[in-house]
Amino acid sequence: MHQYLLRRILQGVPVILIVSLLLFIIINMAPGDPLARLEDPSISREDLERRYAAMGLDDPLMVRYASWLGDFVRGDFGFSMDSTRQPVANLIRARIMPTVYLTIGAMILSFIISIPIGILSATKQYSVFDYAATLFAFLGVSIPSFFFGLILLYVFALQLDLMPTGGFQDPIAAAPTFWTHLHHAVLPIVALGYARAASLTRYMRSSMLEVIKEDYVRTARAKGVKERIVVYKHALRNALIPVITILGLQVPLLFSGAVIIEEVFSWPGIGRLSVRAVFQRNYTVMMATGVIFAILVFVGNLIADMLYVVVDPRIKYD
Amino acid sequence: MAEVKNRQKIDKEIESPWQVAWRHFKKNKLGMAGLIVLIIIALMAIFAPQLSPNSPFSTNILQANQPPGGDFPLGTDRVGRCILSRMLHGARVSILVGLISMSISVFIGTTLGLIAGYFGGLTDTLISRLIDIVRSVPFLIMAIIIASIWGPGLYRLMVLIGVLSWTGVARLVRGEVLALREREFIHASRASGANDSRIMFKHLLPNTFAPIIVNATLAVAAAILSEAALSFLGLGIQPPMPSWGNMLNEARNLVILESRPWFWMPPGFMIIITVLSINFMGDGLRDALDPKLTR
Repeated sequence: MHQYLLRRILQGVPVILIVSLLLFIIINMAPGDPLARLEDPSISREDLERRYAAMGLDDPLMVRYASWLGDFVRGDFGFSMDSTRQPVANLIRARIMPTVYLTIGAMILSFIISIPIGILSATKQYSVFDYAATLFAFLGVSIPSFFFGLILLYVFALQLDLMPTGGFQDPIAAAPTFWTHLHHAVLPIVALGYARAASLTRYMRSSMLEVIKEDYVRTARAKGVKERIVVYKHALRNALIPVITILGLQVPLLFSGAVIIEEVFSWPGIGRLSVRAVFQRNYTVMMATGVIFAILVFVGNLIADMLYVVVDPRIKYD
Repeated sequence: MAEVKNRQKIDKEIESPWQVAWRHFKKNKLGMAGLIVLIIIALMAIFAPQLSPNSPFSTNILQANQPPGGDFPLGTDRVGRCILSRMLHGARVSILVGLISMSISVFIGTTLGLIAGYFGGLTDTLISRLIDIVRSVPFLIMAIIIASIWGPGLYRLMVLIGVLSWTGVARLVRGEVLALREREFIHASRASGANDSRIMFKHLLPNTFAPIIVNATLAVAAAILSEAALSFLGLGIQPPMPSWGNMLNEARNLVILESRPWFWMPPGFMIIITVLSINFMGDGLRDALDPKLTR
């Protein structure tokens, strides 16, 4: 297991390095003179160029990339290129937890919804429930998550006034507790989780349908095991295996969705940070958030692989 | 003479694979419903100029923010443009982006998947790593960064979505080709002197058409959703050109979200109906084109 983990990390590191290099090249293709606006407008052209040279901006691209990378691995992501000039690392540190909270919440919600619906759909194939579940699943993959978020906002926050319209906590609340966070998180988690729940429901249903036809399930029934135990003990564990493998593929989709859901619900995560950065042409923040997202996808995939071992004892990584 | 007639009769009775697929597709109610709705939406998009009650571009401040009714069946937007006319013209943009982005991604994905699966070895490793790299950054993050550097625009958006969404098709085609490569008919054609490109395009590619078609259908739906997301954020189609996504952009303002639902509900529901129909059709095609299913 440890060896397998080590191997996966050794495979993942070059991928993240190449992603960061590609991002660096793309961002360096940006037109204009992004640094000039950070300087005093009265500075002369010669002085500006002297400062660029001192900062190493005249160096070849690869030299600049190497210096960026050296700083990045030491935790120095540079300074935000807006008026605040905060260290980017601080911005990301403050905003990574809300994003992780949102995505893990959506993941858990999608599991809670999709597994029972998938099981019931499969055991009652072609029933009214099965058709309703199919419709629920198709709708979930067809509705843009941000539009679903807007509808939730419109109904539950603006018309019924049950939920806050956005943010991570009440601005006036003295001490945010778990419950105030959850109150703010419900709508964004539902908006983000629905699409994932919908596609997991489809996988769960078809996986369960396949497992139920297996010989060992018929054997269990034949020897008189109760139907409930056949379904939930014998069949479910095996039906979950392919669903867990899908989990790894869902990770990038989950983060993609988080970017836009954070924007809809003013959620202070790194998705919203990167959207802001794009509009402000804040290149250091764009660069750092892009790479952080690649690392998050990698970690998410790794966790999905670990879960795979937990549900399927036949798999041993050595 | 009688033999020839018999021959023709048999030919008439043998269905082509496409006829078989169509016969099965017709039986799928949801798939057929999806197809019919899509035809209606396509007609609406094609005849948008004829169907629109007003110009989608002409502004009139005196008639701004009108609720549905009168000359404007779905009301007017902030500058007095007819929402219905914009929605009909927006269908053209959204569907066009969907189709062209899909063509780009399917072209790249099929080509790279075919090459990776057929040649194997180092080529396969390189292409597979490239797929890993593209998949390791969430689509929307990469898309907004590139869109901000490239600048917005209809054609750039199509290329952007296409270039970032080919990995699914590539993996699919690669897998199919890996499975087909060692089959007897491929060995036979190689033994009879066919070169690589003939084997790839005449023998392998046609055998992967069924899953590619299903994937391409679903890719149109995904591209329409991508356009909507990027335009919603303000990095896709730019006004005054209407698209369903940029009409939804208005709803980012809480006042508009609350008090003028006619601004954002119509394009949103059009996206749902269109994407839902495409997904139903894709699912029907998957069943109809799957030779492994017993019938």
